[in-house]
Amino acid sequence: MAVRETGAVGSSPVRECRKVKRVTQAELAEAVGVSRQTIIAVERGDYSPSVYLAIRIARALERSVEELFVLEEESR
Amino acid sequence: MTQRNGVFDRLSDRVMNLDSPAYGDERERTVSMEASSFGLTIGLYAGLAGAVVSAAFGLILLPTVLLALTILPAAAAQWYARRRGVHLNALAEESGAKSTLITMVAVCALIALTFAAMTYTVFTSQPLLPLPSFTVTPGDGLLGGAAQGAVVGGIVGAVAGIIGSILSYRKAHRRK
Repeated sequence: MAVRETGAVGSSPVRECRKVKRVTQAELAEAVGVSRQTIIAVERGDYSPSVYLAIRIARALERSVEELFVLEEESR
Repeated sequence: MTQRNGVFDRLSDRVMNLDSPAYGDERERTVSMEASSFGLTIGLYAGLAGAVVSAAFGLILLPTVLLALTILPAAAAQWYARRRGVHLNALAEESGAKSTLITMVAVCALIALTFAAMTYTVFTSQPLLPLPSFTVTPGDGLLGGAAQGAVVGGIVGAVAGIIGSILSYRKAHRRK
């Protein structure tokens, strides 16, 4: 099942939250234990993270998973 | 989920080594698995193509071995999935996907062509296509020199691969 970013088309809540918190992709990657390329893929919507990674990202950015990720059909 | 305590299960766990950090994070692991599937698929088609070509040149043993080597990974993949409660055949049959139909038809067509070429050879005692003859005298001429260089280069390359792997392993452990 596809998971897409919330908000307007082209926006990335993960990226926006990360920038608000002034965290780099590399820092976020290290905090959640993945590579920087994986964070880039998540922000672009190219990769749907597992529930565990989604929770780790949400905790690192101090947001809820639902704020950062939403099911594709719900975003329409 | 089926029981997974057999010798082959332990062997597959050892071969796959799914807990290895070499797979990277979850996305990299997913891409690694996709890449393995892609490689397996390419190997499957290459093996089948090799079987067709070698059968057309009148060979019997080589296409048989190639067909067996092609079927083995596919059978192993099916067995591996079935042990984990996933039935690949049933999924393929029930999906109704056009791509699955094309794959099945292409694979079966290549197998049929292989056996057709082998049948021609067996019944007429001659190959479908004349086998080009290569006579390579070691060290004699361009082809002979190239052959010697290739086999020695193969050994050097393989040894370099072993040394490179050991050095990479030690370097990774020093970084930790």
